[in-house]
Amino acid sequence: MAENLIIGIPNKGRLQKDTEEIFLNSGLKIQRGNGEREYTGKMVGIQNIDIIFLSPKEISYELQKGSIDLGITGLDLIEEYIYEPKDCIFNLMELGFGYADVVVAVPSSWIDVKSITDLEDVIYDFRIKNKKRLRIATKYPNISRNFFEALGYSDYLLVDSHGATEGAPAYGSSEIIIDITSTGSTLKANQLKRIDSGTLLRSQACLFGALNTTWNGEKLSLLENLLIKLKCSEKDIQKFKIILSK
Amino acid sequence: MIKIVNKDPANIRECFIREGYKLYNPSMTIDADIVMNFMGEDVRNRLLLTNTPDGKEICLRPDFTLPLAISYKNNEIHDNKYVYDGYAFRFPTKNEKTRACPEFRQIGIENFGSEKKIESEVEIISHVYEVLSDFSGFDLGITISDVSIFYQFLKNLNLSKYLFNKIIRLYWNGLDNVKIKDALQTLIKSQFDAGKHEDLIAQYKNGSLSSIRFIESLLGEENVSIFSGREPDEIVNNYLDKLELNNISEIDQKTINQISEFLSITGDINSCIIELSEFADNYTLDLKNTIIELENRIESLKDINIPLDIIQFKTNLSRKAEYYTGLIFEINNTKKPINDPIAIGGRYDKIFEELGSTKPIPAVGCSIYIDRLLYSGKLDG
Repeated sequence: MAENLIIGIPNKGRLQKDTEEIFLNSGLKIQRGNGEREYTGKMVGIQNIDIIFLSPKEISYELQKGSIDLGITGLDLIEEYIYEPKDCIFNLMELGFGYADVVVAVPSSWIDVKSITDLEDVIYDFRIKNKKRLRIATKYPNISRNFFEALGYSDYLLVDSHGATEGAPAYGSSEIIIDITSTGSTLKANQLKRIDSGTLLRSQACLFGALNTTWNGEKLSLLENLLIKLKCSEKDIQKFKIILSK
Repeated sequence: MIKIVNKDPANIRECFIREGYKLYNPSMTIDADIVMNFMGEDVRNRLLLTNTPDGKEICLRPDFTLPLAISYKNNEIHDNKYVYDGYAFRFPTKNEKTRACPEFRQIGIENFGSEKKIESEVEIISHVYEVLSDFSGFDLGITISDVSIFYQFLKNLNLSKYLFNKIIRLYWNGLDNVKIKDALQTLIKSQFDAGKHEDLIAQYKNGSLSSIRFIESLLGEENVSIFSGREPDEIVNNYLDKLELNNISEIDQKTINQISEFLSITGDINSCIIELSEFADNYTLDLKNTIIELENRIESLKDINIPLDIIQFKTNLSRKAEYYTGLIFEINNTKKPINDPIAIGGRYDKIFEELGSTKPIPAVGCSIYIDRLLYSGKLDG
């Protein structure tokens, strides 16, 4: 029996619209079964492709498990939620939308902090003065920890934040934040600013391939046709095939 | 007189008990904020952390001094001399030869509350030295240093608060002399790009602008309200200190050389004392009291029959815990199968005040790293 190629697509919002658009521009129309509440779909005119609509975060996890073959989600979510992504997920192509930088943002009043090394001074002084660590609100604890570990800073305390992270310094639940920003206007509205060398990750929506799934010849040729239509570079397709053959 | 018959490390503990130290096993877990406040960067990065159900961060004890001091401060224990024997927890470093697991056994002693400063220091050094030589049969070497000499030296340099803190931090990072010098060179070369605000700075300096107004004018914004726990004064002062660093002059290069020269003083104790005095004279620094204290300490060690030729001095002795305030010392196997010291100790007089005690309590102690002792012994044959 032929095995279908399963693709995870964001289930709502801007990310879903942009995804559908990019497929449409390549002549691939995604059709959702029985209206908005249906979480599965098809690609019009192509047999053996199943579409499954998931939240971008779930797409990361399903890619890791290999329960979907392909998935579209933000690079930030892969880096945050997946341990050692290189072992289980391959980044096939950047899709050119969903741009967001994961950045350190500090109060704009901190005129003595222009760069990450200035921040290091403040983090240290803060602990000495207050006998408490400087708090950083973020929904990216893993990306943050890796970033500071590479710099050799350990004096901070990460505070979990779910939504409206930019407001955390204003209501005193943290001193600074690590969050995504695209234009920086939300940061500015909350009296926050970016600093030099304070970008943890430049993220955008990408098409990812799962490594923990069975790729037979039929699925691979389906994938190859799809990637050619999406104008994925020949080099990346070959690279993916080499990794799979190992 | 200390005498060890049987070569089980527990005998070390028993020796200390016989010398009048009270056995105490302090709490296994400790508030992470307290640890972060006392431990050097190197230890802070290797803690075994977890969260309590109410969201506080705690860790397994990385040493015994902190949980013991907390118990003492909280009046849970009332003696002055303690011995401990148990496991402390730090993830091993890549270079660690003597263990691969996060737990390691420490036996150590503490003396809390003794006002007889030198007497209590010498007592700790001699007790540990005797027990170790008796147990191991190694040729032991003692390296001593004094944190307060470095602080006294820095105070003489009249540095800006920013630079003072920066240097203190490099010192506590336990970097070697060359790395500290490199870091300072990088620091004076780095430029703090603050734009052109000479007028505002002049107004601030002559007092016609408050710190908040200065920040607002500089940003071109009004109603700046988020300072995240920092004082506007502190922010502006730090800003001005950093600008100052941009105009680094000859004097500052001299200062760096001086710091580097100071931190490279090392060797046998008597020649180091002479070297320190000459250094102070050359640069007209006031280090007199700290040097006299060092001399007195050495005299007392001589009195209790510790041979002076095994004592080395090193201004830049490695430091893993920021709670030391005066004497620090390490005891090594001079045949050096490993570089890590077998025992580390020193004075930490500020620990109780930092923990919230209303009165200062002098404290001095030393820890023996049992894994290193046994490993060292194995290789020694």
